[in-house]
Amino acid sequence: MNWILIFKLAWRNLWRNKRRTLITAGSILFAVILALLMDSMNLGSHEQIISNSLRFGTGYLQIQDTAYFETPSLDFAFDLDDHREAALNQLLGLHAYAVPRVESFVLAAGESETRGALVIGIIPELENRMNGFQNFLTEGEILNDDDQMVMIGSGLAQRLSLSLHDTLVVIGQGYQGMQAAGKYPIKGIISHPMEFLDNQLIYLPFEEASWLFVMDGKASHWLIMADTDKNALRVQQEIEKLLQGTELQVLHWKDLQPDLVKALAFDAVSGRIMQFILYVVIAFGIFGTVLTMTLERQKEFAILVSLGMKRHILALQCFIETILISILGVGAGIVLGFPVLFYFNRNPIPLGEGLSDLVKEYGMEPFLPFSLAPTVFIFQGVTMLILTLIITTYPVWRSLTFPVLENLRR
Amino acid sequence: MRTLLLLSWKNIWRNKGRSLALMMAIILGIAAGLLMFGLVAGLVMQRFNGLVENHLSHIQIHHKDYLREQENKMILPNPEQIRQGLEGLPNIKGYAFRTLSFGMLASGYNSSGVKITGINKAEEEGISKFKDNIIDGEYLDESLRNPLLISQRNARKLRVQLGGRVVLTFQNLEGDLTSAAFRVSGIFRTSDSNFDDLNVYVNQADLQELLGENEAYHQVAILLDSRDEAENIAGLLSEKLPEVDIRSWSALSPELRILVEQGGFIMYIFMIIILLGLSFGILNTMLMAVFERVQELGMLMAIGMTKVKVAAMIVLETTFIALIGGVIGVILGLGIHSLFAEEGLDLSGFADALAEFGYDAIIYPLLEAKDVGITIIMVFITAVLAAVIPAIRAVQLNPAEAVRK
Amino acid sequence: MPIIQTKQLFKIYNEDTIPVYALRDLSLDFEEGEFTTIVGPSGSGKTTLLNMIGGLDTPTRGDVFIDGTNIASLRKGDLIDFRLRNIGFVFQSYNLIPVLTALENVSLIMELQNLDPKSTRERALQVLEEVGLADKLHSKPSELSGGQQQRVAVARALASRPKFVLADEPTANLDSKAAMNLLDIMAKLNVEESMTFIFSTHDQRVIERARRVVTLVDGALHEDLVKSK
Repeated sequence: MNWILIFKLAWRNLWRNKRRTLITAGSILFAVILALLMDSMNLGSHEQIISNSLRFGTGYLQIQDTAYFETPSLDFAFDLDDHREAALNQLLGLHAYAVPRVESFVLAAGESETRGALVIGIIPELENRMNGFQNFLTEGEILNDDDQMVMIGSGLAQRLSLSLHDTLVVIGQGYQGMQAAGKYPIKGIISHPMEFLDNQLIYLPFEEASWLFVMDGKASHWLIMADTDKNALRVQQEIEKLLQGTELQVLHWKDLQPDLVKALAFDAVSGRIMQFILYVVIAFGIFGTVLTMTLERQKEFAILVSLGMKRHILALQCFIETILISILGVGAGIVLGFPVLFYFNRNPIPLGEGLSDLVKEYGMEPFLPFSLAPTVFIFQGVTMLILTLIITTYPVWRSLTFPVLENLRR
Repeated sequence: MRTLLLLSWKNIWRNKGRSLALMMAIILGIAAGLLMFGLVAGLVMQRFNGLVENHLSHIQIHHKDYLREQENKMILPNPEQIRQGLEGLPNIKGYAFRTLSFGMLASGYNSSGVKITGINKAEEEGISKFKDNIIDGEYLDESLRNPLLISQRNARKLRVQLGGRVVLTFQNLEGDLTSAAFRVSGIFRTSDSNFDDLNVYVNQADLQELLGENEAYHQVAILLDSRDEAENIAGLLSEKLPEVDIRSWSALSPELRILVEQGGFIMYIFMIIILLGLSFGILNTMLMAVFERVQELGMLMAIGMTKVKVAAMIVLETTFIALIGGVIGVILGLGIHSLFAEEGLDLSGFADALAEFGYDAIIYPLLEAKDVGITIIMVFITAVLAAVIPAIRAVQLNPAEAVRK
Repeated sequence: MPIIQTKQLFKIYNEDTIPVYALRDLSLDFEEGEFTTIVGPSGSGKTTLLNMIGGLDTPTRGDVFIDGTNIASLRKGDLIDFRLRNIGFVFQSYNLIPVLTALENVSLIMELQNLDPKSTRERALQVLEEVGLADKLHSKPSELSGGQQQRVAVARALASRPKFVLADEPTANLDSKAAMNLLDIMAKLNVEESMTFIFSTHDQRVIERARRVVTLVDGALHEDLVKSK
């Protein structure tokens, strides 16, 4: 079987009717590019949401007391004994790191106003490594590990009418219900991009926070940061072994935010459904072309078969012709689409005013993000391939079953 | 002209397979488009109603600086005057005065920052369906001292149950911190997780006592007959009551306004995209139909059919195919839509996910006659536009050459 | 006055480079009631001449007068209308619309002239009967034999009462019997209704029946033979 000949025939047949082939491939190109744009934007915003959630919220993994997930109370704070901690650090190596945290709600008071706020006990260097919060500093300086001072969000500062160097009072509930109270001068003011955090954020050095809540150096939970999810999953298994014999567990961020995961999945699925509808619509159009291409050549096929060409070779040729149109369309779509996506990936489109505010409330940056993840491209290829395979059944079936004599006489 | 119509109609069926394939594409595209339309519109309406009926209402009145500063001491200056101002205004279904405080909710296990809303049950009845969200317990049981409504999420976080004790701490009107114990009277769950995390409800009288002023109100929520009146009535009220801040729902929740405005917009874009995709198929099909009939078209022009009539014939053929597909597509779409319109589309599996976005698990799709009408018009326009090129090609033929081919 | 007059008709292709003379200085007159064939080898220009007379093509030089009107002077739209009302066409093939019945095909030409439905139907029935197809009114072309199809074409050409009928190789695809049949009908119409028929053909059978034979060679008039009765 001479594959080259078959391909050559198939290819040449496509160009017998250049206009028709181009329009058909063009329709695929159209669908692919639109689908790419939509998928990329969707995935881009998902990636952004997840990234924010990881860097500012949960980290890739968390080590917590098994009861903490249901009831995030300081009562379930813990300490890792030395040999476990050493083993953990060795396990994480250079690319992953552990960030102990103390987190609790308090009442924060300024001169005359009081507000609910969130105290987060941090290790400044590690925190910065995780989410670069030092870039958001607008006034004052970054905390040191041993400071007895705070950094607060600009929104909170405004609500409490406090400025740099003023004193912040915090009152809250500590370990086992003990009163936690403290007065701290404001060392720095942060303008956090996530508005709802900006309105209630108080950063305190970890040691001080642990002391404030009477936790004796314990952490409420540990965040584990890795550089990729794959690494995080690998590390998770190791940490599980390490934690055997304790009351602790290690959770993946997907376990910590199942609602977010499902929400993003729902969004992705609805996006995919819309793209699929478009593809099906285009597929019927392609079918019309393929139908015509097949029927108009019945006499020619009849002659070929009566001259001695085997039917399955003919069928194969038809099959390849159809697939080629698809590949042409999808290929062109990806080739054209990729630079566009690449450009917008590097130069995101700023959002218009209304959407901009809306998006900032959810902690996202007011830009339209585009993702370059391979799945975006793969989905187009695979979907189109499957639809094309379905379409090819017609010409293939026809080649294998059409009556020769009838068509010879035309 | 009768024969032209007849001819165009018959020409469609010359290549049944191809015409049917194209019609199928149009049918599916339109049906799917309408369904998505309905679902999205339904989602938007649901979110809107959820917010409005549960706590936003159509118009809210606050102290001039309250929305910006959100301080407990910013109470409404002249509640009586406001009540009088509201009397006799048209289109008002009801209103409720609310007392608010920002503070801390704490149990033995945990604490959380919350917004405390002190409500007047009688007034709330007229404007809010909030109490339908109560899944356990009572709606501020009078037999308890300081009854409180807490969300399911917070109840878990703080490890409290019905009858359990929690402490609310907040600043009173003097600026002093005050604390009081409350009993959990009921547990609620709305479709909006964020809302649930941030809100608790108590009796207005209890909260006012703690704040230190019996006539302390922070907010008046007004429900109208129709959401479209909101801007107008807010304007009317602003004139009557100049010293307070009066806002309609669209000003209070830009998120909602955008949702309502852009939800429909996005669906129209989707429909247009589908139609653009279809136009490729239409164009190709009609071009093939023209080129297969070169001799015949030449003959028609030779015997005296004007170019205009020939072009019209092509356009008619295209339009017939598109309209048949479009109308059947609409019928199919409406048919499936009506299946779901009663019972709603049950997405319970995604219930938690939807709640994250603020939606209920059951979506009731919504389609208006105008949506259907606009769809059909768009199909028609697409057909006519797609027919232009084939029609031009048809009349460009030279009759003498064409017949001889 | 002759119904068709050509005066010094030229059709030249590629005049600027290497000129090809499809028609060379043709001056011919055709009278009402003629049954004439234009003959000549392939490339002699007979189809070109027919296209000129039928207004389907324009001469490079010279004029064509139909019933006194110089058709070159007509604007495009008017020319189409002129053709519609004055000239009947029968082509070698592709005469009929496949999706219309015989009756509908014949009615088409009258509807294009905006004739009222009643007159249209009457006339259509009349001409179809004249060509002997009264029983095939509702048949589609695919249900008719080649000969029958051409007869419907003739009926259609006549339906609009043209000044003359141009037939380009009407018998080329027909077997002997059908060809004779068709010619008989055309001859009968020629005699009974004084309908002028001008053929372009190779077909001996047609040439034998014609009363005038115009022979073209290389685009120029070679012979113009009027047979005596």
